[in-house]
Amino acid sequence: MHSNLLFIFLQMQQGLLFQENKLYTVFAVLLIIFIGLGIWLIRMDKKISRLEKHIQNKK
Amino acid sequence: MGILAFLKPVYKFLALALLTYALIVGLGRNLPDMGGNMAQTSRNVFYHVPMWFCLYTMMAISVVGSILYLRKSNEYYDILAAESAKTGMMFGLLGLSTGIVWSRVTWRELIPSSDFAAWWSWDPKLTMVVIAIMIYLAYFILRSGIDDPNQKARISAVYNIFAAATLVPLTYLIPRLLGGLHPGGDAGNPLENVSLSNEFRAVFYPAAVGFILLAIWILELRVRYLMLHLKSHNHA
Repeated sequence: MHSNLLFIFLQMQQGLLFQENKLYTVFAVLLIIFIGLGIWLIRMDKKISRLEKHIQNKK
Repeated sequence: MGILAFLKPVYKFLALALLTYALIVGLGRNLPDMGGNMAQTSRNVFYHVPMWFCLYTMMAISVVGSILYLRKSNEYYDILAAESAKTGMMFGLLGLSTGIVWSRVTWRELIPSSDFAAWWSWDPKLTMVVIAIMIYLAYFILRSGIDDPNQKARISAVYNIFAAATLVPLTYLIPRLLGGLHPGGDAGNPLENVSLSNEFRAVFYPAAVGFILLAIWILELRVRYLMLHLKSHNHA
């Protein structure tokens, strides 16, 4: 197993830079996942702010 | 507090570590060339497929929550069931939209002499997934339609058990029997037929576990939030 960091970086050079076949599709997929998790995070943040306000008002 | 408590916070760091590994090695490592449009897009296996693993995990937790609610009538289990179904639905939508992008690029090669690059095809897997999503949408609509909290929890728990029973036949068994454009339909016995090479497995399994742990983390936050919400609104 070539698990050391240098080897992985050398492979990344070849994997990312020297072969550019439709790799953008993978980036698009990752972008969708990232945006989806981001939207969830923002909504959760708003809900928690509302709950904090509610608890504050009760005191 | 309940089912999630035995999962110590360590799993959150494990989730981040596994996902970091899946991102760096999954994008950087040289993989066996599957040819054509799959040459580089095969890396999507590490990110698209775990979305569905997350969905199955969440729906499994959801049905366990529903069964436990029916046995114990503890509102914690009702919240667990509803929130894991919601989280699972989120991962299902992510899986669907990532699949749409990927299939648009790769499936045009499967139909020679055509310019086929559709956003959507009525492949059995896609069709059945849409039906499964609608079954779970009905679960959320059912929940929002009943005012009495006990009745809402009880009726939706019963519905959820039936919804979960349809999930695996719809999204896994029927597409396997029918075949189609989506991979996984024509491979014979999944235990005998090895379609992923070891290079893929070394990234795919950590990625799948990482995403599942991330889903459990999200679920834990949602359940904690709703228990707090319940407490602060009940003892007013």
